[in-house]
Amino acid sequence: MSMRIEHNVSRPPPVQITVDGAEVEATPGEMLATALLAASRTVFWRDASGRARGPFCNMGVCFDCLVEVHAGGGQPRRVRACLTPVVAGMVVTTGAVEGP
Amino acid sequence: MTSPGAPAAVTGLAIVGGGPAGMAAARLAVDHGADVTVIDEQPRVGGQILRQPPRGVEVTDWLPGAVYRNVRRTLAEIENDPSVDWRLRSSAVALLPQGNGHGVELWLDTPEGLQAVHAQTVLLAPGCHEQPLHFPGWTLPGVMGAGALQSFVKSQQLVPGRRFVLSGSHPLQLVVAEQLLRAGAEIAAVAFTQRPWAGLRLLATPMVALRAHRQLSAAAAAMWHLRAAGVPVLFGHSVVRARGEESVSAAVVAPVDADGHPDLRRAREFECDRIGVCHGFRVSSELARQAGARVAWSTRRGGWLVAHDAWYRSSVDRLHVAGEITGMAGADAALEEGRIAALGALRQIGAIDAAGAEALAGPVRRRLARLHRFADVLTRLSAPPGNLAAHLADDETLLCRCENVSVASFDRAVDDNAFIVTADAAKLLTRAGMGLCQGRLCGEQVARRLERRRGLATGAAGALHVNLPVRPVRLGAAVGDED
Ligand SMILES: Cc1cc2nc3c(=O)[nH]c(=O)nc-3n(C[C@H](O)[C@H](O)[C@H](O)COP(=O)(O)OP(=O)(O)OC[C@H]3O[C@@H](n4cnc5c(N)ncnc54)[C@H](O)[C@@H]3O)c2cc1C
Ligand code: FES
Repeated sequence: MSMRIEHNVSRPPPVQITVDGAEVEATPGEMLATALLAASRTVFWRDASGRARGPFCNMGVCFDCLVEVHAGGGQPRRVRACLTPVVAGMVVTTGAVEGP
Repeated sequence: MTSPGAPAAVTGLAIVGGGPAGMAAARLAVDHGADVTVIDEQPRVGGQILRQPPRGVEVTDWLPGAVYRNVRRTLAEIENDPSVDWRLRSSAVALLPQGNGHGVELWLDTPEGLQAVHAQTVLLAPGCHEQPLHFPGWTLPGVMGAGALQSFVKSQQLVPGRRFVLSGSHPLQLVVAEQLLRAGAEIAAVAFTQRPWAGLRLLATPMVALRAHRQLSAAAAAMWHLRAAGVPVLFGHSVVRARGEESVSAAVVAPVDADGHPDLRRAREFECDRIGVCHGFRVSSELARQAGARVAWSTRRGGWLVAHDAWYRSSVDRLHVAGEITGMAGADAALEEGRIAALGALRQIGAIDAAGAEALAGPVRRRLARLHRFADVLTRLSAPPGNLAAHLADDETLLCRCENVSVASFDRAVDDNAFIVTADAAKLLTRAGMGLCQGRLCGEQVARRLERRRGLATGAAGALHVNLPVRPVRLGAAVGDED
């Protein structure tokens, strides 16, 4: 469980993104990893053995925060959630629901 | 992969890394009339110590402490300077020195695709990343670097969990624990591998004026605050296992001896949903190594450090280095090193003469010598027990988290192939170190494990070869689509 700090912080109005089919509120410009953790998502993808994985370094090194982002009809792209800013309407798939 | 198609943009000085070293260098170079390009993969400059909130998120009293004072001043002096060509959200993935004084070509992976920049000279200031700890459960979601947890607080204004255990050997974990506590988190425990007297003895040496050392005094103040809040701060202990199915539900913490051997009979379990490991840092010398720069191993000062002369020139023509990649010394030292390296680069492109550079470098060198003495104390104080990871890992522990190589399968392969004596050969044999992070998290353990099994000296297995591009470019629909 994670929570956004409110004291002394002012954020722009939230936007909607879709995570594994569910509507989630996020702050535009914050990293996707932040939006996912704030929405109680800790499993970002699964490795070849089906083990759950999530962010480790939060700085682009470990590649354990990979998620799929679907943008405008094209191929989904795998991105590092810790380096990808939230944009309104993003459609995100994590490894949370997939089996091994 | 082919060279980026569009013609290269041309610049005088290209700086890779907008942290303290890169920012201070950029300020000085712009002031001397150089064309400066700054490349950073984060959306804003500042580097790891100053991971800034996203634009549009306003934070009152952001990072007020004294440790941040100098770096924040430099940030304010450069961030909005329009004469710098800012290339943010862009990773430098290759460095191609052209030889014969023809400068260096850089390849950048940007949101708009691959781009090339041609620079007369390059300053590499990419900093460091956290040193991981390979222990049972370390790949479970919820186990992170302590600095990773801290960046969520500093930059994202997120308390990235509910209840935390921090474990390591670096005093930064006290600062992180206190920042989390202030932000509303519960801290179940902070565990230090060192026995208390080990640190106290060092602090008692007359050379060290604790109060003059900002990082140590910040850690001491944090310790006081944590203890007052009733947080257990354990010495001579380490996390030895992360428990949980899909993410962390508890940390098992046990006493460890000076070699890192745990006493599991005296283990205790702390309920928590996050574990932060804090064993100091490893320098990000992969681009320098890819370009062929000479490096030397230092366990205590950050791994494969880039060798340099008094002007912070590497062994490769037109490749300067500054900040942590020359050896862990902290943010204030990174500022001063950035200034000296900038003077070296300006000399190289004829923007300043030798006497002028020398005059400006003098006072900077004196400040730097003092900071290096402090850094030496801090790295001695924060050294983890030599064989902690070797003692903690069990057969199923993943040695390489990218390629799913377990400790047992690595050991078996190495034992079956007695001719393997280098980390590179072990990588080709086992795939450990071949994944997306390019061995940045496992390379050191691959080498240490191989050396232990072969009875070789530390460092004898060599550095992993760094391939170009140093980051996988354009992660495609399939992971590992590295082009
Ligand atoms: C997670 C973390 C947290 C830390 N927190 C603290 C702290 O609270 N207090 C403290 O005193 N020290 C802290 N440190 C140590 C800190 O890194 C240094 O003191 C200081 O920031 C070093 O300055 P630098 O300029 O050498 O590197 P950095 O500040 O690390 O700056 C390097 C910059 O280069 C960029 N970069 C790296 N490689 C590439 C590439 N290939 N392409 C493009 N850009 C690249 C990075 O995004 C980064 O912004 C932390 C380190 C880490 C890793
Ligand atoms: S958390 Fe390590 S790459 Fe994103």
